Amino acid sequence: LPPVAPSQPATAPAAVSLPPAAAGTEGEAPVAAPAAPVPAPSTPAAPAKPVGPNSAAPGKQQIYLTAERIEGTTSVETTAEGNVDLQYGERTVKADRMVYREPLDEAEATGNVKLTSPGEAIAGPHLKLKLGDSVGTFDTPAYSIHAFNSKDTAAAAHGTAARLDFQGKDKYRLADATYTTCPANGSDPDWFARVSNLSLDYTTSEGTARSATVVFKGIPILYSPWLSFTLDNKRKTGLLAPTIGSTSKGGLELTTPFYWNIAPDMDATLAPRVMTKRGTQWNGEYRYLGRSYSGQIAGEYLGNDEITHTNRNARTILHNQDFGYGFTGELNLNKVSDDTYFTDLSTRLSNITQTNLLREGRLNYGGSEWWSASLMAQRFQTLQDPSQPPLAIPYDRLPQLLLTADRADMPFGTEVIFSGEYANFSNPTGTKIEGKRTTLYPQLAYPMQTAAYYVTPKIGFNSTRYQLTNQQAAGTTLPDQFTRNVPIFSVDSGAVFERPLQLFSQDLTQTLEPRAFYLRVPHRDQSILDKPGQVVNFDTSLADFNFAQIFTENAYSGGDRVADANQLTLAATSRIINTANGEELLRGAIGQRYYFADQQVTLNGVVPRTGRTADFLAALTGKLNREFSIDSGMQYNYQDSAVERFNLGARYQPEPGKALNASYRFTRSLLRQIDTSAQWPLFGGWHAVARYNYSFRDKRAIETIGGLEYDGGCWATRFVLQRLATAVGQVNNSIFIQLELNSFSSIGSNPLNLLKRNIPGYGQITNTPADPVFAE
Amino acid sequence: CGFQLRGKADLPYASLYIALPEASTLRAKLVRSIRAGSKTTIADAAASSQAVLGITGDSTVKNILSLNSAGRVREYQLVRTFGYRVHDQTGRDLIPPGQIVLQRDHTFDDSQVLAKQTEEDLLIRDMEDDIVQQLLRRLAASKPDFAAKG
Repeated sequence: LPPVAPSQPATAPAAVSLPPAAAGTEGEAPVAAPAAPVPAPSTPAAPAKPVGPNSAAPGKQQIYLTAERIEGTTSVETTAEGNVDLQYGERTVKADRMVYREPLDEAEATGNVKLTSPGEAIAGPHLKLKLGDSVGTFDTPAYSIHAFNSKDTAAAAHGTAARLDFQGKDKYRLADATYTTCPANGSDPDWFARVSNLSLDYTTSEGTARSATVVFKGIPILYSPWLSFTLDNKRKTGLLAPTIGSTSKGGLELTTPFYWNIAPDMDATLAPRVMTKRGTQWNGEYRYLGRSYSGQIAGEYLGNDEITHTNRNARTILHNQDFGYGFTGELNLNKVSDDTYFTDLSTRLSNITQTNLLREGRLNYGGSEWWSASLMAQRFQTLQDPSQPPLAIPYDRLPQLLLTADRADMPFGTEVIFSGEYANFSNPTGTKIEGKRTTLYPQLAYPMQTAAYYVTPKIGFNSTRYQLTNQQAAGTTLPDQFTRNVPIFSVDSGAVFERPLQLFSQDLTQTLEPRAFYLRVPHRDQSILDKPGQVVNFDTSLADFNFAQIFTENAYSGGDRVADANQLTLAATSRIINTANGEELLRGAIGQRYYFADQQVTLNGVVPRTGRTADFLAALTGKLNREFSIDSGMQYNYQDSAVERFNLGARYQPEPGKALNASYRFTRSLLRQIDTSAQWPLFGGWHAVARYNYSFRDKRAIETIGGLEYDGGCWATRFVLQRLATAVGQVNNSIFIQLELNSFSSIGSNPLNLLKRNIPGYGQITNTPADPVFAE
Repeated sequence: CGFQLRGKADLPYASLYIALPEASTLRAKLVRSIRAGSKTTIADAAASSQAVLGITGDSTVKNILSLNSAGRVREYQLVRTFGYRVHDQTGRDLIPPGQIVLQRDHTFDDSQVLAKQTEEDLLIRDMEDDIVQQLLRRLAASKPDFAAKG
C-alpha cells in the first residue's frame, strides 16, 4: 500500500467514510482495499463508510473519502470540503473541495488539487476524473509521471501543461506542455521540450510529440514537427542522437539517424550524413533474425561526391542459415565503389585498413560425429592505395571443397584421420598461372592417452595433384599436370605434473606440462613449383613461428609446399590454477625446435634454412592479481643473436569503467610501436578515454584519440578527437560531438564503446548508421 | 620439487550430456578427453544424463594490433570468448555459469590473405584445444549443487 502523507489536521474530521473491516488511525486516511484489509487498530478515530458504486462489488476498487465536512446523498452526489482526501486504489486525490457523482463515477476536485500514486504526482487547480475508467482532465497541471510500478524514478517525465487528459490506465495526452526527464529539484532542468501536443503511453512505452522545440541550457537547439521516443529505454522507432563533426576529408558533417523498429525480429536504421565538402551520404542497415537464419544488409550511397564527381557506395550482405539435416550456409558479400572509398569517407580504423574485401559463400555439412564437408566460393575485392606500389591480387577459390574425417576407436585402438581438398584457383588479372589442386591426406594414428600423459604416433601420406592452366597468358612452361606424394611421420607426446602451491593465502595448483613433438617428412623434390619466374603459389606462405605453429607438420601455411623435416620440438608449459574453481590464472611457456637436417624445399626462391636450432619461444600470460594482467611473448633467433619478435602488454583494471593499458610491440626490421590506452572516470560526471599509438620506426603517431563524456544525469554529451595516419604521409583529423537527451534518443552509446572501437572488430564494411562514430 | 603426475581428473558428474552439434570438433575433443581422463560417461541425450553441459556463447573477434607505415594491418589479435553452463534436466544451474577468454596474436600481410586465413584457422583450433583443457579443469574442480534434485 502506498504511503499517504497525513495532511489532515489532528482534530478529527467531521464526517468520513470507513471501509467495513478497517479503520484509519487518527488523522490518517483509511486506505485499505477490501481484498486486503488493514488489521483494525485498537482505537478507531473516525467513523467512515465506503462510498461509490463499486463499494460492494468484490474485486473492484473501493473509494474512501475523508474531509472536514462531507454532505450529500451518497448514491447521487457527495460534496466534501476542507482537506478533502479521496482514496481510490493506488490513487490519492487531495483538494480543497470535491464533488463525487456516483452515477457517473466522476470526481471533480477544485483548489490545490493533488493527485498522487506510485507512478504519478500531478497538481493543479482543477481535476475532473472518472475514477474507474481513469478518464478525465486536469487543468494547468504540473506533472511528474513514470511507468506504473516502475522503481526507476530516473525515467520520470515531468513538466507543466495547459491541460492533461487521462485517457485510460497509464495513458496521457498533454496540450501545450513542457517535458523533461531531468530531476525535478526545483531548479530549471538542463533540458526540456516545449510541445504543442504530447502523448505518453506507458502501456506501450511510447511517447509522441507534435511540434516540439528542444531547449538545452536555455537555448533552443532543435525543432521538429513530430518526434517519437521511448519511455523505458527499450528499442523503439524514432530519431536517435544526431552526431555533429568535422573531418579533414569531408568538412563539417551532420548525421541524423532514424531507427525503425519493424518487428521483434527485424529492424532498420536510416541515417543521412551531410558533409559540406562532399554532399549527402545515405546510410541504411536492415537486420533480421529467424529461428534458422539471421543476417543483415547494409549500404552507403553518396550520389555525387562534390570532390571526385562520382557516385560512391559501399554495401554488405551477411546471412547465416541453418538448413537442417546437418547443412548450414553462410554468405558474406562486401563491395565498395572505388579504391579510396574508406580512406575518404570512413572514420573507422577497421574500415580504413581494409584492403581485401571478402565475397564468400559457404555451404557446410556436418555429416556425423566423425566427418564433415564444406563447399566454398571465395573472391576478393582488392583496394589499391594510389600512393603505394600495387598489391598482388589474391587467387579466387571457385570453388574449394573440403572433406575432413576423424574416427577414433578403430580396430586395435587406432584412429583414422582424413583430410582432402579440391580447389580451383583463378586470378582476376588473367596473367598468372591458374589451376586445380587436389590433395588427399589419409593418416593413421595410435593414440595412447591417460589423464597424466599421452603418446600419439601417426603416419600419413600426402598426395597432391596439380592441373595447371592459363600458362600461355602467364608466360610459363611448366607441365600441365603433375603429382607430389609425401609421406609424413610424427610422434606427439606430453605429460602433466602437478603440485600444490600456497601464494597470498590462496590454494593454488601449479602444473608442469612438458611436450615433445618429433616430425619426419622425407624430402620430395618440389622444385618444379619454385622455378625462377614460374613459381606456383596459390595460397601459401611461411607461417609465423609461434606456440601453435611449432606443433604442426608444415612450416608453410597453405598447400603448395610440404616442407621436408627431420626435427624435434620441445616445449614446456606451466600454469597456475586456482584450486577451488579450476580457473587458470597465469601461464608461462617456453619452446624450442632442433633440426637434424637442413631444409631443402623452398618457397618463392627464398634461401632455405640451415643450422640445427630454431628460434626460441617464450610467453607469459595471465593475471598477476585481480587488477593486473600481463601478456608477453618473445621469439629469439640464435643464429643472428637477435630478438625476432617481442611484445609486452600490461593492463590495470581495478573495476569496470577504469582501465589502463600499455603495450610495446617489436618485430625485427618491421615494427617497433607503443600503444597506450586508458579509460577513466574524472571528476563531476566526466569520463575520459584516450589512445596513443606511436611507431618508432616511422617516427610518427599512427592513431591518437581523445574522448570525453559527460553524464549529466538526464543527458549526456560526448566529444572525440581523432588523428589517424591513413597512408604514407597522410593524416586524417576528425572531431565529433554528440548530445543525447535521456529518453529522447534511446539507443545511445557510452565511452566503453569508444575504446572497444579502437581495438575494432572485423567483417562488416559499412558503418553502423545508428552511430557512425561513437558506437562499437 | 613436489611435482607429481596428475591422477584421474574425475568430474563430479556420473554422466554428462554435451549440448553441442554432433559434428562439432569441440564436442569431439571434449568427449575424447573426458573418456580418457575420468569415469564420467557421455550421455546420448539430455534426458538420460545427470548433468548437461551447455554453451552460452562462443565468438571470436579480430582486433587490429598494429599497422605498418602505409596504414596496413601488420598484426591481428584473435579474441575468443567462450561461455558455458552446467545444468540439470530441469534447466537449473548446478554450478555458476562461467566464461573462458583466450587470445592469440598473428602477423598479417595483405599480399598473403589466403595463407593468413589458414594460419588463423590453425590458431582457432589451437584455442579450441585450450578451451577443452581449461573447461575440464574447471568442471573437475566444480562443486555441483544437486540439492534441489529429488
